[in-house]
Amino acid sequence: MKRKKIGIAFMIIGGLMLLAAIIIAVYNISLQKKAEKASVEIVTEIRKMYNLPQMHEEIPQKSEVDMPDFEITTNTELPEAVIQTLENKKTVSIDNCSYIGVLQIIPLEIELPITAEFSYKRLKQTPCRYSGSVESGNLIICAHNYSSHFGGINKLVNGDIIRFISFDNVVRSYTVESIEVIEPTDIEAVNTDEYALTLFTCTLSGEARVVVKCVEA
Amino acid sequence: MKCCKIIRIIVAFMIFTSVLCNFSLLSSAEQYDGRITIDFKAFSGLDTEMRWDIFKVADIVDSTSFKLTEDFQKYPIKFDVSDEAKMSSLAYTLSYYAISDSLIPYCSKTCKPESLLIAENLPEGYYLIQSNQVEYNSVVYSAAPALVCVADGEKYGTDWQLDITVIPKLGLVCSGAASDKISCVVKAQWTNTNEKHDVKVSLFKDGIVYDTITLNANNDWQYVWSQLPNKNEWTIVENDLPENFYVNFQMEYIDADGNGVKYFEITNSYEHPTSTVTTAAATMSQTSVTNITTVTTVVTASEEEKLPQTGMLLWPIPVLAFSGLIFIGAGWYMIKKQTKQ
Repeated sequence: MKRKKIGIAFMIIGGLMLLAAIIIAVYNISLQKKAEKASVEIVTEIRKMYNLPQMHEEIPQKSEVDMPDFEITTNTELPEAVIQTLENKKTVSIDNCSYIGVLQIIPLEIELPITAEFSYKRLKQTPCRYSGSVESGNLIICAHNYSSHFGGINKLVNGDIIRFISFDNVVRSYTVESIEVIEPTDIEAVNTDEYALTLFTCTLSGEARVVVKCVEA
Repeated sequence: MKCCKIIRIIVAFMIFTSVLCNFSLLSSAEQYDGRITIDFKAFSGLDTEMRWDIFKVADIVDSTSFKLTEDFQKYPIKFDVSDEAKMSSLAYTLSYYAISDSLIPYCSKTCKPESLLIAENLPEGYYLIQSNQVEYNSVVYSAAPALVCVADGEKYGTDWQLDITVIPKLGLVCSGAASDKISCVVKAQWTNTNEKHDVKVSLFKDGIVYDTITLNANNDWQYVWSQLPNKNEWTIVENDLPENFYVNFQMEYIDADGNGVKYFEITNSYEHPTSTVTTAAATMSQTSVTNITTVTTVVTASEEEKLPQTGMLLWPIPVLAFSGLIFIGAGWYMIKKQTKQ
């Protein structure tokens, strides 16, 4: 009888463990779904404001996309800093969050809005600008390893095309030059001005980081 | 009969007491001589209600010293009214912080700018006068905040007056259509220091936080929010200033060829904390005495910096699932064996 009781207890414990595993799996799936939905909604909202090129649309390098712009002429008495700021740094605000552009990872058929500032809260919805800028040629973007975000960047190969559409009327194309897995403490491997665009996310285990480095095409 | 008499006495006593209380209240109420009149000459024809808030921002210590009132003491502001430019900047700074924390004004009146608005019985001090942005015939109008001193100039040897008339300036550049979209540009700069810290800025939409960003070297300490509705009132504040820094805001409306731009300039100024220096007594000796000070620097080991955690919680799933199956299997085996026995 005693053995039977222990057996029942073991089965209950095992059942609870399985249940916990299922709950965590469902939680992760729901996070992914929410993030996917949020990203799609934000890109749709951006598309209402701007005429973004479609994923496989051929765009000449650095072409002017039809976007509403504030025309600044030399007749105005705008401070130099304001002129420079307006010409180079434009963001779009949606639901109290500022975005600097849209990232298109062509081989993965993924289109994602990129927030101007990094925070863990925002990272749950969309990729974030970690540091740098498009104009400075050292933009670093991070995102969760959801399948709809950067979960597939480890499948990219050298030569793949990634596009970044910023709100200064320019579409920039980048070519993947290297993909590597680094330690999370190896910040210097990411914070380098050598590459115009860097993407990173966690590996499946969360113990390391997948880093994709790109140069301007 | 006796009952009625008692009731009459009680009622009479209550009436007498309330009259006595009112009289004492009236006589103890402080009377001040300060008066501010807002003259709406610039607003003629603006047939819409505007809310005017008057905040007491500083008490007068003497002709050159002022002390911020309790409401404003918590802000990193230096009360400098030495010239008109500094007063204008100070007015914007005080105004934006008051908006951000929804401070209760000393007095507030909502009225149409028909003739005059008078605020009386004001104690001596500096007052901030501000109004809300209004829409009239689909056009947006706003007045710049103003800082005035209400005081008896003769007492302090200055030209201050107890009876002040203010004519608000109309923010002409902002007079765009309510349906327009504008940009808000914010730029940070420093004085008295070479060290530039990260500047945390909150953008407010009608007094409610809309967005918070950080100005730093990556964005060259400037930022643009675009496509913002002109019908809303946009203000900013800087948060979490480092110690010994104070801040000033300045705002300028710019018409960039038909497109409205609200340009905010944040100036962070460093003020060295005052320290007491003890001078050692001079020694009567021909040889120079050199004091060697040994400085011990304590380095606190900080947690190693890591790239942000961008992974989902996945590892427990196979661990729990596998362990769960083992337990279920073991339990089933034990039950089966017991049943056989």
